[in-house]
Amino acid sequence: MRLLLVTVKNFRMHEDLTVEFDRIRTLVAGPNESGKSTLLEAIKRVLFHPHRSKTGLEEIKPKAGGGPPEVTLRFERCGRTFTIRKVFKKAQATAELIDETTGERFSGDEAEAQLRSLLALRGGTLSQAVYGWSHLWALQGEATDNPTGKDSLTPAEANRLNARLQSLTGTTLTESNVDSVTYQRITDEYKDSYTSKGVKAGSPLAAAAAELIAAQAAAATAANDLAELETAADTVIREEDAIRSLRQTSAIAQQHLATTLASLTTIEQLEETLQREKDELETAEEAYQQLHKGDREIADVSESLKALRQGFASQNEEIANLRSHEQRMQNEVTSAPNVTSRAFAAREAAATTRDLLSTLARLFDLETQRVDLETKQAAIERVSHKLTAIEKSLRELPEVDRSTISELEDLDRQRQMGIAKLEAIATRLEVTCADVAVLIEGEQLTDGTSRTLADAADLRIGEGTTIRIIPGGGQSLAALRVEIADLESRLSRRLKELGVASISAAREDHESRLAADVESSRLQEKILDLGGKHVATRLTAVKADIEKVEAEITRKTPAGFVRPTDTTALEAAIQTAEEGQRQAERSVEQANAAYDAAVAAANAARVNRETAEQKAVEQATAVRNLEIKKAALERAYGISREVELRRLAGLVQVAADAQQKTTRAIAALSPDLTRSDKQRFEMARDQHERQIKDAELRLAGAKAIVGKTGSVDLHGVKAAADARLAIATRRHAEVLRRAEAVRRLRDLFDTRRQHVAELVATPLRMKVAEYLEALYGPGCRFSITKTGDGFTDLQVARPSLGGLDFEFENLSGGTREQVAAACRLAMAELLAGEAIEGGSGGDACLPVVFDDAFVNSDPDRLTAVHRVLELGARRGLQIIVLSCDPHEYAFFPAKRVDMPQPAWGSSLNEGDARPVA
Amino acid sequence: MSTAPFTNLFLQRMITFIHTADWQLGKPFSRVADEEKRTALRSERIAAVRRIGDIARAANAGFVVVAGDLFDSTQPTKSTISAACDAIASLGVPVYVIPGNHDHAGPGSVWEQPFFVSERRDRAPNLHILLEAKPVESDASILLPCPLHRRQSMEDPTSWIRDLDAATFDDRPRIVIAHGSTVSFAQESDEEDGGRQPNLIELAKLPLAAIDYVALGDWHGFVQAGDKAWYSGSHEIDRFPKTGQTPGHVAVVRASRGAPPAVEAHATGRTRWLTHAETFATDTGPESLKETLNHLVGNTDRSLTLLKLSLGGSLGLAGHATLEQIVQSWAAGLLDLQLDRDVAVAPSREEIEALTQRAGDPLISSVASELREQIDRGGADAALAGTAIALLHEFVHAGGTR
Repeated sequence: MRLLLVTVKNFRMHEDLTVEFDRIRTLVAGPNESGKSTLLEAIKRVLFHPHRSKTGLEEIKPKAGGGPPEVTLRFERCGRTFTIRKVFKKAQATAELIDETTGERFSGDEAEAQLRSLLALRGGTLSQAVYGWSHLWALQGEATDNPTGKDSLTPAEANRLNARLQSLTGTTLTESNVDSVTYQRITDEYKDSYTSKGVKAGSPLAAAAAELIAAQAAAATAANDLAELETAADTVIREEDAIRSLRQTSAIAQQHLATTLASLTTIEQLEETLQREKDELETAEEAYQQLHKGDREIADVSESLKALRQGFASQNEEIANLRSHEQRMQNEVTSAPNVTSRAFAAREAAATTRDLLSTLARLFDLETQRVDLETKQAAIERVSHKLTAIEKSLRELPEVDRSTISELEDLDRQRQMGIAKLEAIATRLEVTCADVAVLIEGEQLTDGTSRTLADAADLRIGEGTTIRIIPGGGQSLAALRVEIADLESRLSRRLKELGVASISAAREDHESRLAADVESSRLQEKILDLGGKHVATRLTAVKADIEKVEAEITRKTPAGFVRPTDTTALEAAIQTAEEGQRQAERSVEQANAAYDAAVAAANAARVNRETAEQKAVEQATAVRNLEIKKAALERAYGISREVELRRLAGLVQVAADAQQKTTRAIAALSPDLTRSDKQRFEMARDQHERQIKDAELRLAGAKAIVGKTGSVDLHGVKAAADARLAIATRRHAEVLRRAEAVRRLRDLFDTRRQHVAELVATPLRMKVAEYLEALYGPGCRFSITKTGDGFTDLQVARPSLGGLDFEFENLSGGTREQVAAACRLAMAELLAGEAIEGGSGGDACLPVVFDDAFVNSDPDRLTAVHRVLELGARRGLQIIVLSCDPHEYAFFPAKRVDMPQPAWGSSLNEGDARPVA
Repeated sequence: MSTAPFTNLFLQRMITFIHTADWQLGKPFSRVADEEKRTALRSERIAAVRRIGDIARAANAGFVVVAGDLFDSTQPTKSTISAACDAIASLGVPVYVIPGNHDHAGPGSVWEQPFFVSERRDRAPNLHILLEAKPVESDASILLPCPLHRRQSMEDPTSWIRDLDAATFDDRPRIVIAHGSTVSFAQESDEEDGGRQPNLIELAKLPLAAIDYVALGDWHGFVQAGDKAWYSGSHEIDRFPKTGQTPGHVAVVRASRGAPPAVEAHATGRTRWLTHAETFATDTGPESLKETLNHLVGNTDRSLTLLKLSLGGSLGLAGHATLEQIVQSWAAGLLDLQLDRDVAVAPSREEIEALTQRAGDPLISSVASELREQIDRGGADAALAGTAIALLHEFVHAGGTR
């Protein structure tokens, strides 16, 4: 099948368009909305839609009106050329097929039938559209869709591809109608029993299993109930026996207990006797012991008394010695103060002498000070005289100071400057040669004379010439003169005020004044150095002190005291006096120490004596106490203690004998064993009672169970439950067996069908892989799974992506459109093969159309796409590419057909050009 | 059935009574799957009791002795008790009963239940339960009952009679009533839980000279157990009998002091318990089985017939289908069909080929071939594969395709 020429009239925007296709490669170029897709739609319509089909009729009519849509297609099929022309119109639709080889013509439904036969389209009535291989055409906007998906492949197309694949892999693999029906029956029954998660709830299998579980439970319950009943019956018999037996045993135990109790009574009586005897013995022993103890005590007291009395005598002797010693010590204390007084007096005398000598030393010192001060006083008076003379000369000088001189000098300088200025302004007039009289201010000047003019003057030269000369411009000269005069007057007045003749005189006076000031200062400083006014004051004070000291010395000087006359003698006297003082001090210390020692010795002697006396008093008290104690004891224990002691010892012996006898009598009755027997028999009795009570309880319980009457026969129930279990077990096994067998069948059918499906898909996989390798290089893998009515699980693996499988839906847009193109070409190749087998001679060709189908592919990948398209072309397919950008296909050597400009402008959008489903 | 001659001369000394046992009223018949049929079987046992009355009247029997297991359980339901009392009342003569192992007089037994006590008193005053092992003097005889107080007693229940001082008795016939296995039948006790030897009766140890008849219960067929000892068997069959057993009877006993008893068996049972076994070799087997069964059951009411059918051998797929049809028909029609079916699926070569060589149906052929290989491999899987291929056969032929 090859498309050769198409003419489209009144079809959407195409008024009348004819496109001639290349037999192998055609590139239809045209901008957007130029009607490329509409052209494609027209071809689809003429091929697959019956002329009378009203589907989409309104949409394909031209908007601008005109005649009905008409499509004429010339195509080649199995070596023959045909033209099909269809006019799509509600009432008068027509179809005409011309076999150009034979010249045969068919029209109307006959033409449609013939066309379908040529295109091997099956199914559907002549008024329905039937698609054969429209999926091979990548329509605009659908290029990235999975071409094997349910949305892209109509059932008829899927069947057609499937049939082709089956014919390629062998007819034995096909599934017959009986196969399908049987498989369906098996599946239905399988689904009655199982879901994907296991046994189906509510299914016969689930019901049988549930019944089995219920029956098991019921059987267990019934067995348990019956066992309980039978156990209870056994219990009744057993417990009745047990109670009987226990009652017998209990009676025997009671007898034993009675015997034991009698024996115990005897023992208790004997034990009471023994206790009494023990008390008696204890009393007798106590009395004996008490008397014996008193006797010993009296002996001890007598012994102590004797010893005490001996000690008392020696104590009194010692006290007498201590008293005489104490007296001696007292005497020493009394005599000690005399020595001390003498030492004190000597120390006093030494101190007095030393003091007098110190006063003398002060006097000597004061005298020295007085001499010094008097010398200074005389010097000060001499200097003061000089100072007075200078101050007098100073008072006679005028009061000129430095500032006054500056003021005068300033005034003089200003005056000098005024005069200098005046002289500078003055004009010198010199007559060097005159032939006429030259008069200045009426004064004639002769040759060689000159005049200085400081004021305006009239110069008369000759008779008629008078020149007014005004030095310095005139007026300023006068002012200057006034100023100078003023300064001169101020200077002379100031000099008068000061009383000086001139400035230089003033300067001299000032110098003299300065010198006098210096001298005065120097003298005053000298007076201060000598002590100034303080000298007189201090001299007065020193003299007063001397008087006081003299008086003090006079007062202190004892008789016979030799007063040192000079300093040397005084210092020697002081040394001697200090030595005497130190000796006196030492004597005082020695005397004090001797006194303290005597006092301490006396105190010690007194304490010793008092201690001894105290001790003597205590001993006397002890003796008295012992004497009282002894008397008391003798009164208490009596005098004839030995007789009494013997009597008590006899009593003790008698009591001990009686007790021993009773003890033996008790031991003969084994009281411990008898008591333990009693306990034992009592415990046994209690235990029997408890056991009987327990047994009676159990008996009552068991009787309650076996006494139950009702409408239930537990034996019957158990038998029924067992039977139910057996039936349920059998039933479950049967149902399970059938269900498992059905599952086995289903598994086998599924496995087989899957195997077949895989086999069938193999040629497609291989073919697509070849195209993919042209795209992505060797190592590509393409997998697809065939289902009953189509394909699923399209996956692609490329070496560049690690050979991992990717679901078609997960690929990028560009890769999807490339893989889709590969699939379309592969399917086209497979379906084209079908044509050969079906026709005579065959052309092994189908047109594959790509309408702007690679818009997502990058330039590099487009080159690969060209290669793929070329591969399809070389394998005999007719490749038709529609593109708005023909430059992209520069390396795909196709015949280029340019679309005319849109007839009706661009008012139609591309959406209007979508094929009609 | 021996019939002892008797004349009028002995009439005044001779007594006639019915010896029966093992009524097992209320037996659940749990192995019967159908509840209706179980109920029918229980009703038949009550109806058979009423038929004893006809025999008693015909034989002019003075009383009826039931040698144990009147009830199937120690706790029969109230409805069973009532039905039993009514049926016993209908007999019209005194009925002496000892507890057997099924209805022993242990704690909680039916005999002491207030409902039974009141029903017996109100509905069946002719019913006498002999609960104690001591002589009971009736008008015409001296009864020596050996009641069981436990389901299983290792003590001979008749041992108390060994030391009995018979001198105190007059010349009324002395009748021992006991329940259990006798020595002679020790190895073939009819108890379902047999093997051990509880409730063992040693006839040899009984003072036989002082005894005129031993009425035994426990064994369900009518059979003489000793010189003066008989098992009456069950009055209505309740299980598939062993060869030679004659259940479904009562004994009409004519006894007199010092003379051997005359004992006759009278049929009371109505249900038929048949056994048949068949081994299949070809697919015609099921058709032949059908004929055999028709012949076996004959004209009898199928609804009173129980059949124990053992089937073995192997059948093809078609044979299986036929057999299934036959089995279903008989299972529905019989009072019970106990089927022991161990028929292997052995599809014929033709059958297998019909599945494996279906040129037009490649899927079925291929699956059938796989299943055939699994069957050929044998083992546990082969059985499932056999079922699966039979099912495949069924699925292919369902709806009449081919």
